[in-house]
Amino acid sequence: MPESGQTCLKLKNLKVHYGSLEAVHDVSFDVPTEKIVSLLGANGSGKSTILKAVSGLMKLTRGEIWFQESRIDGRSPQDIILKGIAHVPERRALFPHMTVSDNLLMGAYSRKRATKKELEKDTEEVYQYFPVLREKRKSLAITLSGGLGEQLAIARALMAKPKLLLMDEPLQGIAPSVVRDIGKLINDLNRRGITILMVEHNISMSFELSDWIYILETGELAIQGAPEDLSQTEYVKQSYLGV
Amino acid sequence: MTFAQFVQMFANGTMLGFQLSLFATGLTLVYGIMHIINFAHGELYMIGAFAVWFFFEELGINYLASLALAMAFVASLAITLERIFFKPMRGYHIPSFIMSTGLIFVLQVSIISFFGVKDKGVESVFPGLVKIAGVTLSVERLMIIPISLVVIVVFYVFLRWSRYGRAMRAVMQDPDGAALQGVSIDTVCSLAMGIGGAMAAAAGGLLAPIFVVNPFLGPPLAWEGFIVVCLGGRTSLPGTILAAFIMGYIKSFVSTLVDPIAALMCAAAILGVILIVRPQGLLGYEA
Repeated sequence: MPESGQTCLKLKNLKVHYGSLEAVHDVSFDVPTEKIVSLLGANGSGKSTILKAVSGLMKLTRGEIWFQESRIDGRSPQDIILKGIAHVPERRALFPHMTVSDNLLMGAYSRKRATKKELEKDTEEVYQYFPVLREKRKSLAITLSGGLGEQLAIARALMAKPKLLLMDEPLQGIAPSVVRDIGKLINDLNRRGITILMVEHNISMSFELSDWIYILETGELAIQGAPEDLSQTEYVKQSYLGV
Repeated sequence: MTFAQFVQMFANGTMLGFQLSLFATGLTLVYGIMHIINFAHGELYMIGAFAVWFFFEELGINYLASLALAMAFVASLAITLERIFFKPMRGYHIPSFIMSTGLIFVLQVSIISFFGVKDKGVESVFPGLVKIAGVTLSVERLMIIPISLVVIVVFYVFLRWSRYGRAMRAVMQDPDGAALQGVSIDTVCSLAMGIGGAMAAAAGGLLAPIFVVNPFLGPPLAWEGFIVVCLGGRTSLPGTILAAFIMGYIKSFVSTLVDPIAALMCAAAILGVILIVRPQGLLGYEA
């Protein structure tokens, strides 16, 4: 378990089922505030299911989820985003036939009291981070490339002003030349004080970006540690680094 | 066919196009958001016509106010039906279809028990005739066009620029994605049913002074509405409006030149061809 700092997210004995199939079995872990934490594991190991459980898209069979000081399991996605948790899901879940600017406005949907002026200011701030999105603001999301689509998904999540960002395979389907840019962006967001819990198949980038890594195997926590320590273990060397 | 006949048929087709646009956009909205097949949508149209008859003829309220009241009443009824019957059926095509056919009978019998089975007439609201391009047309029928246009434009503005309208479009495109932005799917579903009901009621209320009002108006229009929705692209609102006008002109021209059954057969045949050539419909998105 990571030692330093306060806990942003705490999962206790999480159990999640898809029908009769148990996808997550008794998983407990912490995500420290203002850190980047990665969940690694093979397909079907329960990584995305955990993110969906945190953001309220999936119901728990058992267990507890705590965000800062409040218990959030059993809450709806609209309650959870109000708490400050934004989820960039697998394959991004953009609104393909809406423009880039409408997608961004949807990101701020939970901020009911935000004035038009505030939303314009926030959109402008996001465009400073993602200048290409400003150029494409009138384009439909379906017309964006993989890299720009990921930028839009992250930008949309930022419009909710999250404290914790859940990212499900942010590097999936992105040209190799853009992977490093997205990695840098994740680091920048973290430096701005956003805690990040990320699921990723790109092992080298995950080890480079993360402060702490949890590895899941068939729905259970197999091993955890700081990237530099984990990379020395036989388990990681054999299973992930191919050494 | 004389020029006068052509203008007459064109005017009727335009009127029917607007009527079907009002009716079918609600169906598209409900299908696109809730993924249910609501054949009882025709009954909302029928109840809208009855409500206008009741407010206007029985209570003596001004026609446009009666129309607005009918829209509000049917919207509330539609939201109630959604909460009780359709909420558990979301995403299930066949169970929702069976449920909605059951509701057709429940709603028809309810109206019969209140108002009887006999035809009701709504007296002319916009009497008189007007000459356009040398052809005499009824003002009553022509007035359907601007009133429908206002309802459709208000609906479009709501959907395009309002916070809830944007949320409805988002749910149509990616419900999980919309939920993750904080959209309440329950609220959006109720809103879709309410708006769909109000628009069906507007269609019924606008036609009430032209045709007779009876408890069996719904199912034939529901069939036409479903042809329009499939032709337009199932979840595309512009596609629905385009298909509604195609259907309106087919109904008007073929009914006059051949007969009404041939008009429906013609529309169904066009739907068949379009679905073979372009399975996603005229303006629908590819799955």
